[in-house]
Amino acid sequence: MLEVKDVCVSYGNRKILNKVNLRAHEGEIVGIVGPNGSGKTTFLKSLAKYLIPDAGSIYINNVNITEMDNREIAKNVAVVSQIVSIDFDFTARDIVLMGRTPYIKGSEKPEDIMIAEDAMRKTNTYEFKDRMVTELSGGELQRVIIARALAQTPKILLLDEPTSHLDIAHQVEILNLVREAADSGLTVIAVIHDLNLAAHYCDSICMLKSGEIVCTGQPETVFTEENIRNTFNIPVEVNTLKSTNSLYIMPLLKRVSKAG
Amino acid sequence: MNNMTDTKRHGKSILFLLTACLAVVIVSNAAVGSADISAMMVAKITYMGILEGTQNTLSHFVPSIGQSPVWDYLSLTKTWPPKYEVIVLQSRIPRVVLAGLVGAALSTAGCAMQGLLKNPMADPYIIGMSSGASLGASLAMLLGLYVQTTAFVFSILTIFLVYNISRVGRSVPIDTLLLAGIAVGSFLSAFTSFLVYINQSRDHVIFWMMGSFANASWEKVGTSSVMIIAGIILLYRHAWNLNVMLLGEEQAQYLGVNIEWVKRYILLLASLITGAAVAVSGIIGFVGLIIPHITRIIVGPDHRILFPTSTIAGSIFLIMCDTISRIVIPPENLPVGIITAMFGAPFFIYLLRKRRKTIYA
Repeated sequence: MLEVKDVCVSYGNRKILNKVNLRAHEGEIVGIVGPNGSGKTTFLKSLAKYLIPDAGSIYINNVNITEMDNREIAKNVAVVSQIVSIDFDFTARDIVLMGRTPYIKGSEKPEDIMIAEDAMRKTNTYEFKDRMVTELSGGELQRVIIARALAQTPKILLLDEPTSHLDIAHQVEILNLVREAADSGLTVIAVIHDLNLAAHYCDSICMLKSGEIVCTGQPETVFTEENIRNTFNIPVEVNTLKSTNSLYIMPLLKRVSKAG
Repeated sequence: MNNMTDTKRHGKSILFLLTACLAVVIVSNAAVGSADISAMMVAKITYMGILEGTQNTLSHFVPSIGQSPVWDYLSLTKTWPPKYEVIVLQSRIPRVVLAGLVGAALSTAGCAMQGLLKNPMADPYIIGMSSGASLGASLAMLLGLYVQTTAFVFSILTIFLVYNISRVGRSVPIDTLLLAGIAVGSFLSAFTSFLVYINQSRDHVIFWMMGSFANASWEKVGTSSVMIIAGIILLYRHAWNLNVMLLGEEQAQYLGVNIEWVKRYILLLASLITGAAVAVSGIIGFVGLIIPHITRIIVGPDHRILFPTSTIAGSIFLIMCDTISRIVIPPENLPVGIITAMFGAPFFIYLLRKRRKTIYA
């Protein structure tokens, strides 16, 4: 379980997060939404102890993360960052094995290889395990990075816009993967820009604006026309899709005349 | 073995091949010189030298072992004049071994620096080591101090200075480190130039700064080998961390690497082995820049295989360059630093053109 209590983070004098609170349980996907610059990425970075809060505390299973070293954090928290490009000729398998870093002293053991290859099978990356990561497509690379995160056998998975540069089919593929990971007992915190996908995949939503939480709760309670208009400064219409019973959010746009 | 990828198997056989090459290179290069001694004879003399050395050392501790008949079985009949023994064992072999050690040190340190700084321009000297060592050496020559020690101390002091200038709180940003290294390097170089200018016997300083093994001796091998070998082995232990750090510092931290600690540790080790090498040979450029690039092209970026191949390839390269420096204008000993660049650069340019792809990946 992840518990965040009154966390404040700033870069120099600029306050980025102000008294953020959050609670996330096993098997849950918590979606972080909010406009650009609202502090979403900063929030994830502080959860992985890459940024140290000025105030407040973060607990993983009731242990304050300030009491954990990098190795201990990496055993508990895996991060899939926004843009990952790898310029070096490592194979996909090498990269996934790097997920075992917090467990490895010296070189990998058969157990590490087993766990890494298992993570590759779960993410459908095993078939290209010997290909160079420099030659993979965006979707393939993202799956490799998620496999690397799973190879850490973490309790908490942090995702920063995991699908932002992927096409719609790959977005769904990645999010299905994340859903499976959560169902197997992980706690997932994901920054997701696409509100519709967030509504469909997340168990709860945390809406940020200017470093403060506007509201948290189930997608249905957070994604109201009023909340979205106030947070993103754009009028929207929220409907329910008949086929899947999930929310459907569409900005109310001015009519555009199209040529032809 | 099916879980070992092709590149790694490939890398291991290359490493094996290189190690065999190194043995051949040591013997054959020791056969080159004004006295005509065949490679076979060099091998025999070296073998007997090692054998007698081992016998003497062992019997020093356990006298009965020295009397054992085993030694006679292992011995060869000495078919060579005693002066050949002196030439091979006291002059040529220490020279080849020293060149090999220095080549290994510079190449391994260069490999570590390129990995750590993620910069293809990086070499062992990039953050000011050579400038510090040169200042130390020229100061020592002017004041009559012991050159080897002064050069070593100055090079290490330079690294501490650069490190502390770049430090922001508890972390050291790589870009700042590089820039501070260049700035401190230029500053120290100015003092070196000044010292060279006022020194009456400036030829020595200039010669030293071009690097040479003309004054090689077992004593120099002895003083530098412990630090170089220990440093290289300790660097190997960070191969995995360096691999992970190629993904970027932020990613490396997410994977549990204590990046600031690793950075400090690698900088310190690379500096120590570079300092030890420079102290006994002067400033030899190019080895630490080019050899890691060449091995990276051949075996890939995995430091677990890249490190040992660079070490051995560096040894071979510098031994060969030193031999060339002895035979170009006999009996002159050209500074080996001239040879490394004169012969290494065209080869590297050839590789650059042949690959036609970004070289640093």
